Amino acid sequence: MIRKYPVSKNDINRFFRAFILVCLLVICLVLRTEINPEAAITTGFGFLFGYIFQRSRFCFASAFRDPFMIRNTVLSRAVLVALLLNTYGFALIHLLKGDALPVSGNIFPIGLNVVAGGFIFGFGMVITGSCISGCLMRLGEGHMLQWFTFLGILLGAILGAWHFGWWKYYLEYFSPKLFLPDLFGWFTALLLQTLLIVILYILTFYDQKNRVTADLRKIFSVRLNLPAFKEAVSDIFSIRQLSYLEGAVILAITNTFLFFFWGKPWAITSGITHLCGWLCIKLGIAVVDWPYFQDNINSENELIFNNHPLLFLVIAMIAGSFFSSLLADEFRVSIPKSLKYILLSLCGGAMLGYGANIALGCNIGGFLSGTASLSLHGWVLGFFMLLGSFIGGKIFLKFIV
Amino acid sequence: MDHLVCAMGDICPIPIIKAERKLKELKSDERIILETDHSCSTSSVINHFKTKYGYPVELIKVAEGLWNIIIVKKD
Repeated sequence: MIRKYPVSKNDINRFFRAFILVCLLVICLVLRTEINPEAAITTGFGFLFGYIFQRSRFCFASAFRDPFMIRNTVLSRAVLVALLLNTYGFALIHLLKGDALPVSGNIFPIGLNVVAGGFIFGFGMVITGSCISGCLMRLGEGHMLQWFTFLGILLGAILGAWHFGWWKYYLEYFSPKLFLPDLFGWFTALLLQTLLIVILYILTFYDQKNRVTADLRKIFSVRLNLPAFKEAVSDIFSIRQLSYLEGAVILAITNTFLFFFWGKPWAITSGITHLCGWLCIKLGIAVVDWPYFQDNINSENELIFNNHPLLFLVIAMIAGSFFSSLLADEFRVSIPKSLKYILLSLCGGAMLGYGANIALGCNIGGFLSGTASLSLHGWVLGFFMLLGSFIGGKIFLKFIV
Repeated sequence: MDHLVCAMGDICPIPIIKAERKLKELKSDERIILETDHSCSTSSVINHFKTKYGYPVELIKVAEGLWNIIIVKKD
């Protein structure tokens, strides 16, 4: 099922690919010189994330919605594999760096903001057909419809940042921050998380009970087939399509490396929200006093808007996806098909932006990185995203398809 | 007999839903040709019909960013 694509030899395509790589290198080198060294790291990693997403066709929205809409759980399993690997990756970084880490991970309080934000985000994912990371990937592939999703995300994000002060009331007075290693110790925390992921993995076979043992046998047999494994690894550099499992593994490893080099895990939303904040300032809207942005003052007491490292990561993800799609001749500028899809993208995007901001994280920063950081808020967010996807799916199938 | 299902410009998971609905109407050994411009479909559609239904599936790249996925209904 894994297809090898010949690398595109089209001259214009080659020029663009070389141009992207040169730009990336120059930007990273310039940023590295005291201007914004954090952004140099996030730019490089953002490019990798975008590339891997596009090569493996990974989709978190599918993982949440497909169990209900088409009764298929293959991507849900891939996400669980990514979660498991990422958890141990982050734990390893804690072991290596310990107190040298600026943050322990994406650990946030569990409040009504996580519940509501997760539900709204899950609903929005189904309506628009992608999560925020998926939207960035498709922007890179040339889908013009996703610009409407992105516009929706920007509008939702600024609304979410504005309302965040109200939701924060519930954060500070009613919600605990639950970092599992603080509660149970590292060993028990890792054991509990592993058990939960394994149970969820088995549950994804809810309507295919005979497949559980077949899948497990496949996993264990991989170790015995070393030549095939070696060939698969070397093939990755020959620009072939990656399987969901490979995508999950490589994303988890890349996130771990990002945590190691940057000190913070992969996240997307705050980069976009800071872009919105900067645009608002340009339009004369005073956002600096909003609690959402006040919480992001860095150590020199300077608010970063258009210099936020995650904003560079977001742009680099689009560039990485663009590069990947050019490589395999998959880039195509596609115009939105109908007004219905444009409206769905705008509304869904707004829900994605709003939900992600009040919950302090999207499927990547909140769910993947939050859960991998062993913060209980990640699981709560994931659960309510699932619920939102379930309800959204029912409405989608009834009124939209 | 071949049946064309156009899913160009459709958001996920509409290509799969369209293909499923069309296949339900067909008899065994009839095929659908799903047209899609979604790179995700090259994995998701193929995986869905191969593993869940056990149908033979073939992917053909028609042009840059355009694919035809041929799914044969086998009862």
